[in-house]
Amino acid sequence: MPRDNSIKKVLVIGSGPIVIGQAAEFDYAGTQACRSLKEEGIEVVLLNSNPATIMTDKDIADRVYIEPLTIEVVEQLIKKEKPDSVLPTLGGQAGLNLAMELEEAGFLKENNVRLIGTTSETIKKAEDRLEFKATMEKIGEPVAASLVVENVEDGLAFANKIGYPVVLRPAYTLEEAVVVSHMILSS
Amino acid sequence: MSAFLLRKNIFTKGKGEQMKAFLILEDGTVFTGTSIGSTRDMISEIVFNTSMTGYLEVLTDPSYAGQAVVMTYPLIGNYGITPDMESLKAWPDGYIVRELSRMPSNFRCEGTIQDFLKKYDIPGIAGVDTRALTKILREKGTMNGMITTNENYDLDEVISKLKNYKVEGVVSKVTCEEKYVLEGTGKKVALLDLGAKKNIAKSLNDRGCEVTVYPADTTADEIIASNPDGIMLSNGPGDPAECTSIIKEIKKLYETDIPIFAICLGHQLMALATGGTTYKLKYGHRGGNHPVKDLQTGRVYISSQNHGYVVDEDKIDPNVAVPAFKNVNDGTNEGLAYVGKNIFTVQFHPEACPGPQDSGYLFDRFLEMMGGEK
Amino acid sequence: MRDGAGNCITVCNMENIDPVGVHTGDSIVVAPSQTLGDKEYQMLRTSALNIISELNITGGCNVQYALHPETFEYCVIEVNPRVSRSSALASKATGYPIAKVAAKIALGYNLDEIKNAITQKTYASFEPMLDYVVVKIPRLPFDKFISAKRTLTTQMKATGEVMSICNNFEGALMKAIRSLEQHVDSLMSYDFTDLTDDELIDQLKKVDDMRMWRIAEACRRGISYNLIHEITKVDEWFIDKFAIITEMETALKTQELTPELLAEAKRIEFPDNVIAQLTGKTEQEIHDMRHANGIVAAYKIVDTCAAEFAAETPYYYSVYGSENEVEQTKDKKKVLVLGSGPIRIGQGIEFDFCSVHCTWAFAKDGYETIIVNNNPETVSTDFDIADKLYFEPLTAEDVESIVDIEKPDGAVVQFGGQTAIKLTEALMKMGVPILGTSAENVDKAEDRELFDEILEECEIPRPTGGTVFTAEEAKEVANRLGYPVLVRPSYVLGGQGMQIAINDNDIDEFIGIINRIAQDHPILVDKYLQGKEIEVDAVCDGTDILIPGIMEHIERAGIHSGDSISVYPAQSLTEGAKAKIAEYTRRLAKSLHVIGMINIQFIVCGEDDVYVIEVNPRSSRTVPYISKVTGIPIVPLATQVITGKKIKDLGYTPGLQPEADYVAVKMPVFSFEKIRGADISLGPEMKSTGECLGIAKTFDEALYKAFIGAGIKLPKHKNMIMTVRDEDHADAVEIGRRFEKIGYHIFATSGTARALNEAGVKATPVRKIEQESPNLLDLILGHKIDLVIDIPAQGAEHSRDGFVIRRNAIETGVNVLTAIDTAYALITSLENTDIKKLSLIDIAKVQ
Repeated sequence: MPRDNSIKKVLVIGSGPIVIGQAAEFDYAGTQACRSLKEEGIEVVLLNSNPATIMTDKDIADRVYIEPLTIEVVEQLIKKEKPDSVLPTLGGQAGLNLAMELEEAGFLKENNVRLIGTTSETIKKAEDRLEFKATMEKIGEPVAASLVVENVEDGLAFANKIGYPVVLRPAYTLEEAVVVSHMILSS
Repeated sequence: MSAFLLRKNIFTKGKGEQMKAFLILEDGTVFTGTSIGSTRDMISEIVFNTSMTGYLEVLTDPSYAGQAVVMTYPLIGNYGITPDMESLKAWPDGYIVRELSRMPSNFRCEGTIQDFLKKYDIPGIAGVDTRALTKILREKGTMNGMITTNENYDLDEVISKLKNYKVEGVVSKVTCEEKYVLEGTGKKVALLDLGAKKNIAKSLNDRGCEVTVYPADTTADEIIASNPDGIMLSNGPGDPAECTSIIKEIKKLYETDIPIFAICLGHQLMALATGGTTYKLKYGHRGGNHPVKDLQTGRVYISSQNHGYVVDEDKIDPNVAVPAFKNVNDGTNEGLAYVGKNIFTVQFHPEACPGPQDSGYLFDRFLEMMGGEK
Repeated sequence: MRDGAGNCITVCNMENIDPVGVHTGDSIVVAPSQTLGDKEYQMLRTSALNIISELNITGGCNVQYALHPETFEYCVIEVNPRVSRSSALASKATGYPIAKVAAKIALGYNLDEIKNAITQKTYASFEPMLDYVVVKIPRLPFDKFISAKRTLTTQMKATGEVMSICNNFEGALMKAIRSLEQHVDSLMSYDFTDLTDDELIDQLKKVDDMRMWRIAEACRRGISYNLIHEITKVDEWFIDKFAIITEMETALKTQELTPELLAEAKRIEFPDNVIAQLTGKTEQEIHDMRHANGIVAAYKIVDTCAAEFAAETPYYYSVYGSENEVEQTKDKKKVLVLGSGPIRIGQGIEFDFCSVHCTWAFAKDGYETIIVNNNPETVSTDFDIADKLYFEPLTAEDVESIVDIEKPDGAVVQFGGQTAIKLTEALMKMGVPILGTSAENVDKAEDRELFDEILEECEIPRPTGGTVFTAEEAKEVANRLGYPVLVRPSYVLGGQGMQIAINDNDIDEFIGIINRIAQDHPILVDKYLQGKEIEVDAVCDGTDILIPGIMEHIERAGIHSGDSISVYPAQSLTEGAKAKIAEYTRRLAKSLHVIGMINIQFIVCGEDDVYVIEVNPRSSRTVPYISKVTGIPIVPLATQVITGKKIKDLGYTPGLQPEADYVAVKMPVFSFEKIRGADISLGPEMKSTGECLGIAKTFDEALYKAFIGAGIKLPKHKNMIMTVRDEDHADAVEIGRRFEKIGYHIFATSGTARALNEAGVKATPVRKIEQESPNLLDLILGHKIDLVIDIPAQGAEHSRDGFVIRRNAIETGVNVLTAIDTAYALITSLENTDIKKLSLIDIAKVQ
């Protein structure tokens, strides 16, 4: 399949500052991707608040914005630079979440920008725990027994049903909720 | 698992009890290592396989009869011997590895690879630089070699013996002695055993087929007379051009309307039977990562391969057959579809074992061709 | 990976040595899987392809499985429909550039249309075949956070990782261990010999970073594999491999060292120093014996295809006892660039930025570039950055093996952080010229007495201090200077072991901690000065000096510069102070004969009393940020200077450069919530894991952006807690008033509350945590607090409330500020900026 020629200017969202769990690997991936895109003659606009990375460099991208990774900034940037596509899959969870928010708010469509690299449908199927479970069950892939609960009693009842140890986590990993992303409970 | 380990310090006893062995190649290169398996001398054609898992399936693949296999993956035997043999015995003439695992670990492990090699009397050598060896074979092409534990070998003498070695008459060595049946309630398949791997018949049997496995020298008449819904031509060892009598019989099978599915050697023989030619590749394709492209759909699949010969696509009469699969790496032919016939053949191994199961759908295609349902 | 046509392949299959229950980022991982038979392997492979197809992913995907060790039962733990942490590891382990291919797929290409960069002949629609073993070990920050719990759980704690490649598992493991740079180089490095068998068996239950060493000890004592496996759930195959390593230890200790034994010890990658230790010989004797018997390292290529096709890539790893594949190239001048190893607090990707830019600059100058590094996460270990990549541990012996083959014309140690600097002496012994500032001069900056002489000569004031070796000596110096004092080891980066001591007890505690890590260098005790901390990175060509800019740290001096908020250009310096700073920089650079980079930290007290705190004759972590914000390519400039060019000839006017039109604020980012039980008050030891930048035309907007970028999203509930020391009450009032003005309700502990109320700032008193509920802690745990301003007294006080308050705040997602200056900075930015109207600046256009 030949390259999609309607893609001429891509906004790549980086992963922000280095934290445990989301670190240098995204600089490497982001840098590779930017170079790969530039090789194809694509104009690359990069957004990443991390100044330490090799990625946030005018040798790697055509336009480099070291700005906070927030929805407001991305919206402003899209309006300013008018890319035709956004590539969010190289910026770790942060990039993906931003892309999803924009897509769901209809912002991307309004501004004639599409997500490339993956669709929001796919992201949801993999990240939303309920949808993920349903998708896996559909294709016969086993997942660990799990349940989304909203109170302690339900949680205890289920845990006793399936047996300890259990892993407890929020149903959708949004950046705000990543204070405690997993806890193993043995009783 | 630790039951298999002789828990003594392998470094304190020195290497005294491990005998030295030598691998001598046709080009004069000598590799020194330690003997594994049998200590007798062996001369054979040296080929390499790049699979990272599946050493047992490789050892029990009849297509290796007449050859000695080099495993490029440096750690072999990690999970011991499991009930995954693809035939009744080990077939390679020799086995060449970097390192055999001292202790295997796997819940289905029934023994060590060291014992297995001894049991099947396979001469082998460990501790050689298999990567360097592979590079020689890649650069100079497949060549003959000798494994010996005799420290006083005469290099010139050995090399002249090596130059004279040829893989021949192997199909008759590996085929079954008598026909046998795998019971099933669905379609009836006649499988011509040219060195068949177990999983071919099993793949058919799993889809409900009753599979009758015939020895390689069975006549076409006998097969046709049994009224099969389909015919399967299996994989096997050696130079396809050598199988002249089998080719004649296959020609007769071609002339019927019975659906035929052929793999590897079977695919090559069908091509030869219908006017095609084959040639020898420089060093063959052996491993589990070869990409083949289905020319009809454009899809690429990762396949398991083990072949030294290939059908010459340029010499195929397009009125007889058209290329159906192509190797993405080197463009060689990986499959044919026969014009006006219910016959399709592939060079690679859809039955895997070892290797990717991506092209298992071809068995479904065969089933449909025979009028069955998945 | 999967493309738009539905073609899919698996790139890499990895097995965790640690069982399910430990986050994969914190596990020791091996690639390819070692204990799976073909049946299990294909089962999971097929499953992964089904998943990626069902999810309709175009690009890369990562699937994590839990496989029952005794049946074929498995379950899907997690799917990441994007490039993930393991993609970097997978790419480096196999040579298959996942992100590059994913980007091309995003543009519409199919896998069989994308060329394989390594073979140049085949396509991306294949699966890599390895003919070696890769081991990854996580780099955990427990040496930084001594009070943190070391246990590994499903919440990741590693800051980085190392990877190693070898043609046998034991070798890969040994190489990975010594790549960690955590004072470990074998399976004997943690000593459990004084535990009884029962105690050891009991300790095997612990799941932490020392587990492998405990298992090794258990193997030495002949404890059954079955039992070890039962407790740890580590597969017996790996246990046997640890045992093999311990058997070699025994053999070396008890047998005569024959060439055969030595060859075997090297084959499984026992470093010379460990062999020496076990055999009672010297490292030099081992080295010489090896060379006399031809037991030297050989290098193999990572080619994605197990030698099936000829490869063009220069991506190497070392092995013993095999054929060498490196071709020695002789047509160009060669430079060896040493990388910075695994990412850790204090030495992160900023150094990789420097290594890579330096490499590119040398290449532009016509050199053949060689990178040596062992970090799979970084850009420097991408095989197409340098002309040659050696994926190897950064120890003297491993580098020497490379030098023996490559015979480089020079080595650069200025850009690889402490890791590279540590190798300077060794490189010199090998006869490799050090490019740039010489080793003697690097030493001068670190040696207190020599440095004091230099400062004397240059007529530059510095805080008074002394060099000591024991706690007694330290206390003497401290009492002479007068507390508070700064205590630290003299040769380290990242402020490790640096603490502020306010009394003799603190001294005893700190010296104890510093000396735990066998220290070859003395300890420095300096008078602790109050003032603005200033930092300068400069380039010197031997004659002239170029200073891109002066940075100011907003937090008061005493907090490690890597952890403080810094601003460029400096906002509150007088012209006089700036001139002095530039002048002192020039004098120091010249006196130390710096060729290349220099980083100096100053303290400015009052108007323009400037003192020098520290000098580092190498690049620092602020270099990337300053380069981008000023538009001056510092690293390439320094590189050209290193090769002999002059600043004037490169088109720059020497001296302090004119200030940029922009203000840039660098904000540190922490991962405290990931490290349980760590003390988060910022002190001289660096604790941040990363940083973000806010750049704007005004200081306020830049500050605001920096806070937002760091995840501080205020205001929300408009409630805050203040609890400060007596000496800070005046500042607290000022800050409190301003927060009140923008609508904040202030809670405070009694002393602070009183001070606020007395000054007319409404503050609700709240009980301290040791008092009964409702108290401070309840308030925090009630999830309605935006911010806690808690200024602790100095010194480690784990039992005090402060620690508990800060800890709980972070764990519930409440921002904690521990320095008055930061609080001022925050209120200023909240007063002035609107998130919807930020100006966006394209730094590609700066300067």
